[in-house]
Amino acid sequence: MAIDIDIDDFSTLVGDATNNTIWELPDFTDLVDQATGAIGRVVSSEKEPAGSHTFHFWGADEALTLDIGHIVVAFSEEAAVIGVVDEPRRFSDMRSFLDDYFDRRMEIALPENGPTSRPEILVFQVNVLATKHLRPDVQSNRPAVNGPVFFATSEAIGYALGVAGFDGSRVPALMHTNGNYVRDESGDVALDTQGQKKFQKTPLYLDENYLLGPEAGHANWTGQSGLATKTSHALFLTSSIFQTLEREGTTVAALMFNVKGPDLLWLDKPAVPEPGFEEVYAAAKWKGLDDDQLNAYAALGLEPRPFTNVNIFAPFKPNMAPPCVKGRIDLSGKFDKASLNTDRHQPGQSDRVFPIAWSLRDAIAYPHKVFGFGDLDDKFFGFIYELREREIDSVSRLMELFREIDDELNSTGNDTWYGHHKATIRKAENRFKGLMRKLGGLLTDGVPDYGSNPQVDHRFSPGEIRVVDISATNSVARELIVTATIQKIWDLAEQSDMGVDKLIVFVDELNKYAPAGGEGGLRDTLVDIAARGRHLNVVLMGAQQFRSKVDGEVLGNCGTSFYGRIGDEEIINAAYRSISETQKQELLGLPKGRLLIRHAHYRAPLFGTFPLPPTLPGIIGQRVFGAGAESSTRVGDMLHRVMKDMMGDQAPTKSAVAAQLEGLKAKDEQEICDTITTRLNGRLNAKSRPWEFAKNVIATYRDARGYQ
Amino acid sequence: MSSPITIAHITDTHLGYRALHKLDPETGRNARTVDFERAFEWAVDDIIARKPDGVIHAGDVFHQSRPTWHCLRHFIQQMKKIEAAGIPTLVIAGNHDTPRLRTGGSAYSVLELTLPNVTFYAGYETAHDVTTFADLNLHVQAIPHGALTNDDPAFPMMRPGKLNMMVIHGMVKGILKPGQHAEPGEEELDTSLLDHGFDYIALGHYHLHMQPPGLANGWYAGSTERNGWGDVDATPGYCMVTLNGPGEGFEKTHIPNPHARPMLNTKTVYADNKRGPEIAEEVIAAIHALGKDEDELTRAMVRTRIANAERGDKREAESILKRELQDVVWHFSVAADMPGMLASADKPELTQEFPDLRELFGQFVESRTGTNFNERFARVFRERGDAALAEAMAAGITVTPEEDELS
Repeated sequence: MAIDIDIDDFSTLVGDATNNTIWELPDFTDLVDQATGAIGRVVSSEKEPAGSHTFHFWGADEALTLDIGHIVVAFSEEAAVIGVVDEPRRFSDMRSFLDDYFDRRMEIALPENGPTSRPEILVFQVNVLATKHLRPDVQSNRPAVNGPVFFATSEAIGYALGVAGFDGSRVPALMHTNGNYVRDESGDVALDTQGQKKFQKTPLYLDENYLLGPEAGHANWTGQSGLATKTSHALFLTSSIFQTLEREGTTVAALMFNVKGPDLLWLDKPAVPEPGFEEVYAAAKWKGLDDDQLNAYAALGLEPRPFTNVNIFAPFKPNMAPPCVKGRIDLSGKFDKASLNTDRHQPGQSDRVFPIAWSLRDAIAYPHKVFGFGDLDDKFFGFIYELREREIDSVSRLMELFREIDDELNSTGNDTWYGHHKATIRKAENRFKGLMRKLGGLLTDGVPDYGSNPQVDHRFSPGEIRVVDISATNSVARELIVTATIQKIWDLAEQSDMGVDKLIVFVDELNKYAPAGGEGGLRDTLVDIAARGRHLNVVLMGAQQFRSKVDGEVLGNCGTSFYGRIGDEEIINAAYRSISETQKQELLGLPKGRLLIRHAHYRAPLFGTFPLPPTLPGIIGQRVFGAGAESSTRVGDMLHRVMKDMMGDQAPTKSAVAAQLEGLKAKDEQEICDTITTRLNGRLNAKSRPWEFAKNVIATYRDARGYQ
Repeated sequence: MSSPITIAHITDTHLGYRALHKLDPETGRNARTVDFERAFEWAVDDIIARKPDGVIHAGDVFHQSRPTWHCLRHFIQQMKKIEAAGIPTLVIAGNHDTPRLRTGGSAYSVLELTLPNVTFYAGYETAHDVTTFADLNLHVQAIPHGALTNDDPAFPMMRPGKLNMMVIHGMVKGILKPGQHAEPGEEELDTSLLDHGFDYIALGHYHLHMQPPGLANGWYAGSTERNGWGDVDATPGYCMVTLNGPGEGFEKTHIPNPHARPMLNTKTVYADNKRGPEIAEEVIAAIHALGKDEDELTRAMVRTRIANAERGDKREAESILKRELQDVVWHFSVAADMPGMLASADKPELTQEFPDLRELFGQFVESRTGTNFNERFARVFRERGDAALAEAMAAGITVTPEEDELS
């Protein structure tokens, strides 16, 4: 409801102990919502005086919209004090609960509507975000004096969050909703599409230099799985970062690990259906983004568009890798994408899906992860070093070596081979024989040759989202892939050879890879990234269910943290000690789409909301595009993507591409695209004519298949 | 046709190859040229005797893009025999058969007229041939060397329901070290072009009979004779390939040329303060240490590396050896004393194959036309340029085929 308090009659409500009308000074009129008027009065008492960082106020009876998380403005003698509403407490003059009982239940009970009612007041604690002095050059920390409190305007919120002092670009992260209403030019309260009064919403920006370096860096999400919307917001923020940096001409890419189902497999599919896809989206029970969501995007200065440059990497399914010929696995040409261990392999959808394959050499670089701890004695290590020195790089070559050793030991009758006892060799043979099964489809029996195809640990292209799908691999392979990929990307960063200005590395289940009190390969690398990454333009975005289980150095170096719903067992840990009790209670039941944020520029944590990510949720994407149905695959889209990648703005239009492919099916288009990409990737130069080449491939394909 | 078919895969016949100042006693022509012609003749006769269903030549029929009359005549004579045997045949051009300038014209244009039952692909485009071996249900993607020099890369395309074969001429990536070339002008073949879906890929260019690393369905048949010392480890011959059916694999048999001229490297002789006669004695001992019989040695090209020798001693040894060995070996030479020259088989030596610069220059001048073309200037420019090149070549600035024994 509207709170119509006439500012001229303010003294009737709150009194005017200081005779101060500082809020009417031009310097401060933009900060307070004058139209709504005062919503309470600052109070300080003997027991609870107002301080520089905390004060209290009682709320006006009419201020029914006022609640936790709202941002308000009070005043000291010469400054506006902006703070966020925290703990509310309702007071009455009752000494004990029994007083009320006796009043109501004794022989002569008081009437329900008596001539007087027992006074009750609602007192809010406010955590100060910023203080703005009349003089810009004065840094004021004087507590608010007893006087009126107003809802803060968007300008005040912007000031309180230090937006004016940002060094870098403003990256929209969340939307803050305040308790006051938006008014039109005539002063009337504006209504939303549902006919409800519109609350004032203000974007919460992050400073690029404090999110992506060099001043500070990294972001962390914590919250319960499935309830905390960690991944959704990480995707939203990634999109926000991409769009913001794109506008300022900075190149950025992201590396993500898909650990659950199809979560991150369809990031190139828009949440808002493209023309012609409305029905299939609806059939998959996806409502898309409603008007409020779209308005939120507009208010944040963002477009709800998906990522265009998404590459997906996955290992092979066990025993499904191409055959090894003379110790080499050829991955440079075409192969059946369905042999990859990912849900995204459908014809028409798998042009950007690439393999991860390891040779033996790659695997034995991580002996502690590949073999059991008990197996790794000095003798076994000695044999592994022998293999490294002999440059045994493939399983097939290793098995050959075991046969040679066996022959030699049998023919000579010796017990040792180059100083290694035959028992050690037998043990090694057994362990290595089990390795391919242990590592799922990751370990192949030869040395992979990727040709000019993209590789998971190579340089990035601007705007690239590189998704490493490890959702279906076993835990050993999963850990190896994450460890090796991040370590190699970190090597690239140290050599300033990432291919982009900024790189975001998103790691879910951070407590597993950088555990508190743990040590080891990836933990050390992640700590290193957390400590030095912002200087090398690598940002670690981590998410976990249990913040308390994550390494302190990783969290300590994190400039921005988001909190979703958190369980009561977790929230009592020291990792949450900086959050107020009220906010902790809020976090216990936080709804989806709402997060608490801490950022380097913010003096106190704030709650905010965000719209759904601009991409189709993985599970819906799987329903719509994962079935490989004709209705959800439009012939021409994939080839158009390929041409866009190769030619940029010079690429033919979608309709021109579709016309060229008329009569062909998705699987035909897949073959055509595979042929084009395997032959042109890495070979494009000024003389290249990709579209002419594509037309030639299409014509030859039609001829070969007997199509007209 | 669903039963297995057999295809003869021959390549790198290099007709017209010349080397060494030795004459063939029967014909009076360069002996190495005659070696190559005989090797081709042997291969053709052997193929006809084995009665394959088809013949495929994977390029470098000739050693030069403008073959001599002798070469042309010999090739036509042999191919007429295959035509007469009724064996369908397909030939692609290799880098040696392809003029450096596209306007240069090709000997194949004449051969097409002369051998109507042989299919030639010598231009600059990929061909999908379904007619030559139509009775065999065989589709051949023929990629001549010229098609690999286009701005737009060649790409593989198979025909469903047919036997699919690719014939291509170039160096498969991964055989040589990155950046290394066997000869100027060769094309590197990326494995993304050599699709696993083909039933067989007939490769030409590399003279060693081998299967490139990682390529399960392709083989180099190898040359029919050894060229320079880079081919010392080659087993000259050709291949007979049996295709079992679409997608059903193949069997390959290599038929070695029993008449190929032997090429032998002795162990290195270390001079270390020895005089010429002593060095010569050690070389002769090294030749005998090869353990070859007299017949083989008298047919063989033999080479020795003399290390750590003073120039004078080395020359004296060479002159003694040339005299003493003339009836012992067919040809003897001393390898240049450079580290790595006698590389093992897995490190192929470079063979120096330069185009004929005077011919190239002439083609260049002829190709210049247009509004500002001055006929008199062109004539004088050509005469003077030609003379300068001739002078430079005579002075030994350019390596000629005759000198490739030093390579």
